[in-house]
Amino acid sequence: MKDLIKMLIWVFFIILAFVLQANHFLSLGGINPNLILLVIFGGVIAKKKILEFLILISATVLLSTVFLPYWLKEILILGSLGILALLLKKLLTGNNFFDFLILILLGTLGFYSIINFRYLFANPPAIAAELIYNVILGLITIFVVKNFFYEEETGIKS
Amino acid sequence: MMPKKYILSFILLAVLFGVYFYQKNIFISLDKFKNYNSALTELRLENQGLRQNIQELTNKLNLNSQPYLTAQVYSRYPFNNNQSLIIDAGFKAGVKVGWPVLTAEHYLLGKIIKVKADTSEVETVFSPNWRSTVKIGPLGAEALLVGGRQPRLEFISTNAKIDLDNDVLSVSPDLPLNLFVGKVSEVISQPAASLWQAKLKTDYDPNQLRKVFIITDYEGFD
Repeated sequence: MKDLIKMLIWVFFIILAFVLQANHFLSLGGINPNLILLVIFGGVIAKKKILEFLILISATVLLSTVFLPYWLKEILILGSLGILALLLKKLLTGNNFFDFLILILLGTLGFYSIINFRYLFANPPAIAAELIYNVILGLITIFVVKNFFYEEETGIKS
Repeated sequence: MMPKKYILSFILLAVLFGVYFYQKNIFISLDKFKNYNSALTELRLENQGLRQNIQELTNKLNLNSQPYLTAQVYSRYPFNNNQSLIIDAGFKAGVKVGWPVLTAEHYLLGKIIKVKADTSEVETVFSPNWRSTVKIGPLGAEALLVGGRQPRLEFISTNAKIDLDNDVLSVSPDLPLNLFVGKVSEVISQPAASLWQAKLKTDYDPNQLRKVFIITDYEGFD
């Protein structure tokens, strides 16, 4: 029952990210933060079991067919980056706070490298602005998780 | 005393609401003003289309009146590397890949690249993969239009005479001739360079588009 509630909370966050992402609700100066990346990489940090994380990725892909049907390729790339991050998590610092920020930075650059390599060089200021925006939202996410969820459930150290 | 975490939560919520309202322009414009502004933008676009129409009639260019299909913008690409749109007209409405899409009459926005039953994807001149040939100004200097958040005009001959605010018209074989794309906003000319570059400006914000027009029954060369 507890696991089901936790999974439903994650589903809620995924749907929220999809809705905000698709409608550019948090867009500032034309820069839209990558909320789906934040949710997936949040899952990389919070989920200790591979199976749980794979369920999270599957739920994301499944929900994207409803909320972002045209952009399934992008969601699959983000999901793949999430799985890659989970596999390489042990190579990071071990501090969940720094690991999350590192993953956001690498994930944002990795996503654009795969989806459109040319964009990385076409508009560096926009990339930098999005990186900063993603990191700020990542910090806010950490703050929310630390204050409103139990440490033992999330794995994020106080 | 109120716990620190509640104060921080309140600040966090306030920041999130602030960003949201800033983005929605609610701080600076009430709904009424927004509608007025939107109507004004539509009128301006219509005016641009009419002016372009007059110019083309005057120059005896592209006089064939094309049939149009109107579509609403259904969704925008959710990430920053692209500016493609999803519109609410698909193959049920007869839409085909390659058909040009306009923001106003004779004002090029992009073209259809993917069609589903009730929706289609439009690649716009703001998409990084967009490439098309254009001519600039009254003397028709040739250039390559390269898409992006700020579209660029590349491979302009150093002998070409172009000025700021020169009109940029499409001469790409896969699009109708002389569709208006925008105006030159900046010319980047380095003494040592063999070719010049320029920046393109449009009078509309692609993020604010709500309605587009599709030229139907168009067969261009790919």
